[in-house]
Amino acid sequence: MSDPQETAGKAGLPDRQKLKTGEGALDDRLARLNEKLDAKTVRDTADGDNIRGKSGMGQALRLSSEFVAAILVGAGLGWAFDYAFGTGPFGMIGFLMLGFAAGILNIMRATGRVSDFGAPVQGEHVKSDFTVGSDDEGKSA
Amino acid sequence: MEAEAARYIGAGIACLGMGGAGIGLGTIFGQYLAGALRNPSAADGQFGRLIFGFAVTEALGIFSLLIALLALFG
Amino acid sequence: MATESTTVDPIHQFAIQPIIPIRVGDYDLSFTNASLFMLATVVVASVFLYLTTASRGLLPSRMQSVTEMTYEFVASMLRDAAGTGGMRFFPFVFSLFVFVLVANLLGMIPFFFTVTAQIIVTFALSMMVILTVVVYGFMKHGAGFLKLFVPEGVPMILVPLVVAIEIISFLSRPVSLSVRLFANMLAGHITLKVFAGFIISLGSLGAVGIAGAVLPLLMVVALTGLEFLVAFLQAYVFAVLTCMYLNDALHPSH
Repeated sequence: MSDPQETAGKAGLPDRQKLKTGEGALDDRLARLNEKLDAKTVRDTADGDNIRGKSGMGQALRLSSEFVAAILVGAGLGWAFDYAFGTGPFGMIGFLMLGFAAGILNIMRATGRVSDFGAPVQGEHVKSDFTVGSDDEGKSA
Repeated sequence: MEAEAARYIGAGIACLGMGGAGIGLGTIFGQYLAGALRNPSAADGQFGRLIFGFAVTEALGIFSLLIALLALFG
Repeated sequence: MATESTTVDPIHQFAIQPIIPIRVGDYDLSFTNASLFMLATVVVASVFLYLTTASRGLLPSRMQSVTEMTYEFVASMLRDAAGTGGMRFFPFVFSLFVFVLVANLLGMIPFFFTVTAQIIVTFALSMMVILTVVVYGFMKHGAGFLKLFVPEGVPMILVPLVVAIEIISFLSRPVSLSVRLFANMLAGHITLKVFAGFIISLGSLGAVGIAGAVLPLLMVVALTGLEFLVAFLQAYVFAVLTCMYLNDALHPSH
């Protein structure tokens, strides 16, 4: 800051040029400040807005509850199906397996491996192709 | 009443299979974590395989849960 | 409420006791302590929101900025998850968030009843969310809402299987939503009670016991801090998931 003023005072001729370099220096500093601010805000939002950024305990509870809930719903539906139609153990067997698949699907949704409802990729596909769904990782919660 | 007791005991024994699945899951996640710590950059790419292994292993556990549920309510 | 017994029973705090017994036909519609604290939650939240925004200062006071921050927080959460079209659900999501948050925080006051540690309360809240999603989805999209269950790009043979899986996955949402909130609050309060019980039973052992009781006391202090965090976090998670489910009602085909 003091350097350009000093030299500009000594000689009249390079006044404009020196002023320009002064502005240039200011611009430089502004740009650097902006970069720092950008980096900081990006880091803040990446940490704060992402539900996955919370504690591992919370995430583990979330995933296991998603998985168990689907299995419970499957078992309940299977029991109700058998109770209503009297189809022996087969309703329970079928619906429990479906509930298990839904639980895996829930887990993959919760970790962002499969995009949300109605999107192209589904669980069956993922089993044959392991790299699927990594593009929208981090989007989902 | 005897048959009722046997049914509960059977359900309990069937649930032991879940313990096997639990051991397997522990191995899978432990090995994944070990591998991920050795080469963190490759960890994300293998997450699909982790879920696949989890699904297959847990499916066997679900079979025994199924037997237990059938013994209880079937 | 009502923890006069000398032995520590960690479950006792969740017992529901009728305050004003009301009986209609075969139904027990008593005004219980759960009802009392739900009412208290609503009153506390409403009075707080009303009083803090009553002056409507251009330069907000501290309390007013708390309210404004809460508003902004929920609004940005909903806008991020469900787009600007989702803002019509803002009153609903805001009410849910504030209700769960205030109920969780009220439960942290000693001798107060924790409403959100009752599974029927959390289940009712989550059923409200899911029914809103289903009703609004059918109202807006008609049968097109069913596209939610049919993902694109699946071979025809697999469609019935995938649809069944998707339906079960959808049905498991209210269960996991309610069980998560319920289990977190229940487990947290039981843990607090158990560690608080250690202090009492150690303290009755004489001088050595009192010295030893310092450890569980520190634990209880730490756990109380953690529980306040959990109270906020669970309200946040509940609201975020509500926003995501509402997004499905607004854009079923995505």
